[in-house]
Order: sequence, then C-alpha cells, then structure tokens
Amino acid sequence: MEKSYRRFAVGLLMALALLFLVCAAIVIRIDPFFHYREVDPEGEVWFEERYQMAGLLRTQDYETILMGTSLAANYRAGWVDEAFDTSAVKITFPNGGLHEFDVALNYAYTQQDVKRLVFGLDPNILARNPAEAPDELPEYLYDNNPFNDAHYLWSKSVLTRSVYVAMEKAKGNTEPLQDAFLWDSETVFFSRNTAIGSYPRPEERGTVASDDAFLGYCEENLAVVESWIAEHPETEFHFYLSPYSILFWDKMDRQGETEAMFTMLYYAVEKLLPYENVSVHCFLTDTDIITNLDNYTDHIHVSGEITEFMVGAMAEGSYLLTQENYRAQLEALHDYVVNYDYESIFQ
Amino acid sequence: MNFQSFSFWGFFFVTVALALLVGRKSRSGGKWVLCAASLFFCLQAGWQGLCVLIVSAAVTFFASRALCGSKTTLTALVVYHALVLCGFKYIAFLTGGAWSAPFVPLGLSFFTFQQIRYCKEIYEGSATREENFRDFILFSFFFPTLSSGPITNARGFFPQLLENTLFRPTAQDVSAALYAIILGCGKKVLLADSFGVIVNNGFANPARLTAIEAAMVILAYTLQLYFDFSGYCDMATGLARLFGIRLPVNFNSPYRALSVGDFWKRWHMTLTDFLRECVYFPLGGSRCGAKRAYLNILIIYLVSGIWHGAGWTFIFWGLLHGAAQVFERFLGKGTEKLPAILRWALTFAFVNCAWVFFRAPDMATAAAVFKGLFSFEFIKPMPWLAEGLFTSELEVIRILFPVLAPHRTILAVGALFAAGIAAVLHPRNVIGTMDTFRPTLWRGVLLAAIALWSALSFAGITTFIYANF
Repeated sequence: MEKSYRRFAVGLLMALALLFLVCAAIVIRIDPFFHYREVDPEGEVWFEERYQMAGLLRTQDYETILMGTSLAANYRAGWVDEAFDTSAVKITFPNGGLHEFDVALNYAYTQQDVKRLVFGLDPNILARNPAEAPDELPEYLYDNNPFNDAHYLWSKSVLTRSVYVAMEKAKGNTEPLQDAFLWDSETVFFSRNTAIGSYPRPEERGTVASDDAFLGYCEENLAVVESWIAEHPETEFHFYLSPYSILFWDKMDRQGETEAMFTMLYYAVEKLLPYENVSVHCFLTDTDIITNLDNYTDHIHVSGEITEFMVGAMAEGSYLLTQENYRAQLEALHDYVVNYDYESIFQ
Repeated sequence: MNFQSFSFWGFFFVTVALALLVGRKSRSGGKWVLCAASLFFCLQAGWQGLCVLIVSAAVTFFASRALCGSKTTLTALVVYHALVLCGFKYIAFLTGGAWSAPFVPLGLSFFTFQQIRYCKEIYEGSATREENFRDFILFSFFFPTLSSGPITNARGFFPQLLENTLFRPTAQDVSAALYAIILGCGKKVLLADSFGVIVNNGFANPARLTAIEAAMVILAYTLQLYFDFSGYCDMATGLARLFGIRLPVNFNSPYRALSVGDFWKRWHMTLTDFLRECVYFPLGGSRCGAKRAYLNILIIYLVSGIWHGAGWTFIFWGLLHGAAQVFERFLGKGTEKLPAILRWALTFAFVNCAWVFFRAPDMATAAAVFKGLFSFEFIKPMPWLAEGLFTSELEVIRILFPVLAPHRTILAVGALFAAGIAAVLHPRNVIGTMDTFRPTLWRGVLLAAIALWSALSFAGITTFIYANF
C-alpha cells in the first residue's frame, strides 16, 4: 500500500509539473503581451492596452514616448516619428491614473534612453481624486524581475487570451502596430450626431462649486508629473491640453464647475511653465476645433485628423503657452465658454 | 504572503525541502529550519508586527516558569495578552476612531488565544511547560496556522516535536497532504472567491436586492465563509502533515448541524474549545444553575463576536448565537422530537441570517439586505449580481461553445451553487477523509485538474476572510 501512495504522490507531482510546463510553454510561444518576443509591426492582435503596452516599452526602440489616456490613443506613433524626427512609441491606458503612468514611465527609463515625453495632460485626470483613479496596471509586466513572471505564465486569463490571439491570427484578424488602439475605425464614428448622441447631458445642478474645488486633487496629481520633470532634467517634456469639445464646457456649466475648472487650469499651467525642459501646448483654446462637433465621437474624444494636426503643431512649437501669453489665452477661452449659447448646440 | 500566491508556494517548497533534508539527519536542525521559516513568514507582514509577537511569546515563555498553580501569574499573563490584543485591534473601536494602531500584527487574534490557552494548560498542569525557547517559538509562530488557525494547544503540539514521524512523512502522509492542500486550495480559490463575487456585488448595492437576489447573496456568503475558512484549514492541515505534524480538526460539516449548539461543535472547533475551556468553565459553566449558565453562554458568544471583529455587527452576531443557544437549552431535549429535516432547516436558516450581520459593514446594510429578502419581489435575478464571476471561464465558453454563450452566466451561477451546496451537505469532509484516502488514477486526474485550475486563478485578488483576525 505504501508503494501505491508513493506512486500516487510522485505521479501527481510530476503530472502537475508537466501541466505547468505546458501552460508556460503555450504562453511563451504565443506571448500575447510581448513579454518574450518582438512585436511584429505588420500585424498583431491588439486588445489589452495595460497589458500590451509593457511589451511595447520592453521590445521597441524609441527615444520619444507619446503617453496618455484614451485621448492619446487616436494617434499614430509614425506621425510623431515624422514630426519630431525621432523614434516614438505610443503608450495609452484608458481612463489611466497618474500612478499607472508613473510606473510605465519609470519602466521605460530602464529600457531606453528617453529623450522626449509627449503627455496628454487631461483636465479630467488632473481634477480627479487620486484615490479614485484606476490602479489596474499589471505591474509584474513593468519590471525586470523574472520571478513575478509566474503571474504571466500561469494565469487562466493570460491563457484564454493566448488562445484568443492564436485564433485571431489564424483568421488573419491582425492590425499593424501603427493602427493599434486607434479610435478611427469602421466602428467608431466622428460626427456631430455621434458626439451629441454619446453625450449624456447632465441636469443643471443649480449650485456653483467653489473655485478651489479641484485644486487639492490637482496638486496631488501634478506632483507626480513634476517628479518626472525633476528626476529627468535631460528629457524634453511636451504636455498638451487636448481640445475638449464645447460639450465638455456645457457639462461644466450645468454642473457649476466652470470657474473651478479654470482655477485648476491656471494652477496647473503656472506650476509647469517655469520648468525649462517643459512645453505646454494648449489646444483647448482653439474654438474652431472645439465647436466643430464633426471632429468628435463624444464630448472629448477627437478624430485622427485633428490629432495628426496636433502632433505637427507641437513639433512646430505652435499652441504654446508661455509666461507672457497664458493668461490672455485662458481668459479668452473663459470668456468664450461663459458666454456661449449652449442651447444652440441641441437645436 | 497568502497561501494562494506563487511567492508562498515558492517559499513553501524551499522550506519543506530544507526542513525534510535537514530534519531527517538532525531533528534539532529541522526545527531550526522550520522556526526560521515561520518567523520569515511572519516577517512578510511587517517587522513591527513580528517584534510585537516575539515579545509577547517571550513574555509567555519566561513568565510561565512561575505559572504552575499560580493564579496571579495566570491572571497577569491573560491581562497582558488581552491588553495587547485590545491595543492593536480594538483601540479604534473603543475610542470611536480617535486613536488607532499604526499596524496590526499578523494573526494577532489567533496568537492571543493560543498563548492564553497555553498559559491555562500550564497553570492547570494538563501540559508540561516547554523548556526550549526555539520549540516554543515554533509552536507560537508555526506558519501553517499563524494567520488563521486552527488554535493549537500545548498537549497536542509539543509531543509531536519528539515523535519519530517529525520530518519523516510517509508516502501516505504526502498523498494525504496533497489531497488536503489541493482540495483546500480549490475550495478557497474556485468556490469561496467565486461566491465572493456575488456577495460583494450584493452588499455593495443592498437596496437593489429583490427577494431572490437577497436570498442568493445570503446563501452565497454562507458558502463563501465556509469554503474560505475550511479551505484554509484543509491547506494548513496538509502543509503541516508534510512536516509530520498533525493539526486539530477545525471543521466537521457544520452546515449539517441540527441545532445551533451542534453547529458550534462543528464550526471553528478549536475556537469553541478555547471558549469552553478558558471562558465558560472559569465562569462556572453550568455548575451554578440555569440562569448563570445562560449568562455564561451569552458572555462566551459576546467574546466570540468581539474576537471576530471590532464592530457592533460582530457583537450582535455573537449575541444572536448566544441567545439561540440559550433558547435551545431552555427548550431542552424536547427539540429532538422534531423531524431532523425541520431541525436542520431551522438551524441552517438561522445561521444564514446571522451571517448577514457578520458580513455587513453596519446595521443599516444588514437591514437593507433583509428588507430585500422580505420584499417578496420574486422576480428573476438580474445579471449585475454575477458581474465579474468566472470571467475567464465564460470567455472560453463564449469562444469555444458559442451556442451556450447566451446562457453562460445562468449556467455558471447554477453550477456554482449546486457544487457549493453539494459540498457542504456531503457527509464526508476533506479532513475526515484524509486518512482513509485511497490513491487511484481518477482521483489523481481530478486533483491535478483542481490544482491546475486553482493555480491558474491565483492572479486574481483573493484574501482569506479569517486572515483579518
């Protein structure tokens, strides 16, 4: 009987070891998150930004990073390559939190000599309570520690995605790297009707938020950004304020948060402008863009035509805020949005 | 370091390999390895907590020299350990949040009761004082039991350190250990955590619950708690067996109980044993008349409630169980005339309802759950209740079996409850079958499948509920 127990125990342990090896081999072979292999620029299956971006940071050669939330997704890294005469990688996390961007950027610095960061400084993420920001990054992919790769090699979620990737590749459903996570596609449309239809217009609150309503959170969020600047004086930082549409200002107006938002914008700009290696590009103030709702798919996400324009503008040094002009720019925008006839949008 | 993490299993394989390798040649050497590993395990939860526990263990060890027959020393040690526990775990509750401890040592509640139990055993002379500090540290910090029990006692633990079986598990021990570890892990990761999804969704939105949804949430928590805790205990028992150490049984199919008193003879048995030996008997037990016995019962369940958590819901839960047992005692043996199925149903219903207070963050949430239950809105449960349940598995079904895709959620929920209820009502539980376990090919295949599925599920967020104590 002792023999049968011994055979059982040894057999079970060996079977488990074999099964674990097979699981790991499947994941390593397919490698849906590019942890062990190069990205094929001609065609990959793109589906999980937080997981796949680590692989891009690990395997690509780049000296420029274009980074941001979903608002930075509708860019092609190739536009940045051409406009800045550089090699770029696009890193986006939908609704990303600053801690997540911090982890990704720190990892990037361990992989490449990062000379330039182009970062979408969304007013929405500046105003957000840091405690409520998503923190969903699989940090085990954003380090050089091989021991925590166990989370990657032996995970049913990763195995499922490995099977999914293999099946999609077999069907030929791949997209080139340049088109990864673009909003411009056959299923996302940019038009006035789409933008208005996707905008859940809030009820008027009837109260006005205090001017400093967002300042506390902004200060905490900006501290993360400032730490990047302080730790990497050799890096060029291009922060851009994406052109939120006029519908966003309608939302601010109805929620009584317009003044609070402007107070926050002034604060953020005044904090960043003194840094020598920082450029702040403000597209918020382009009233031609923000009032043409055919540029949008909702109240903030803008089409590829505009984002391509923005890349070129940033490389040229346009839309720059300076110590001399930022007040006039923001005041002009303030006057515009405070006096805008929002009801005309919906007629 | 959770049991259901790769880092723990890495730690465990290294520890068991070293301990057995060294222990076979030198029992003392093996104990040093196990002691060091246990302290390392505790260190992962914070060096400050480890220091507190080491100091407390040292206090017990050295003061116990004067313990035998000395009520003063016993009282002083009990007061010391109770104050340490209160200071770290209850200060925020007692001061209304004005003060709070910066950290709580790992397994402090279990550790405290174990130390007090040890003191009582030495005082009464039912166990011999351990002279070797290393062995005492091993007893106090034994890593399979440190965070969530079972609460070991001196006369059960120390003699095993002298046995020839220490660090010499037989093939049957190893097979039984693997059996318990794998099934325990499966209970925790595959069952408890899955029920936890429904529970968390329900308790996050109690006002939305209709009658059937509330019933599902309540039953799900009943099952989650059982699989979480008993799964942990199964794993602890299996882990200890690999070192040649046998732990006390902590669960004996508690949801088959026919009375609340019977439930507590089957649920967290080492806690019940502690409360009886160290609280109920010293208070006089049943020796001072019925009324005093009833009061003593209420006191021990008040202590149980407080021990489980620093909150009014825990206290209320404890008192509910105390009151139920007082009522059962009052009714006497007359209840045994009722049909067993009725007694089981009443007991199960009571335990289910009492667990609501154990889980709810406050009385208002508990009330909202019951309001849903008694709303008599018997409409089909909505999908939000199962959001996040078996996401990977359902994705596989969607891809591989598209014809089942529209029904996959209801199938998953149904399968989960069916498996859970079948497991809790099965007369033979894991610990009970460890020693009669027969190794067959199909059992091996099943265990391998459960082990693989469980390990592949580690990457999600899983915390032992009882590890918070």
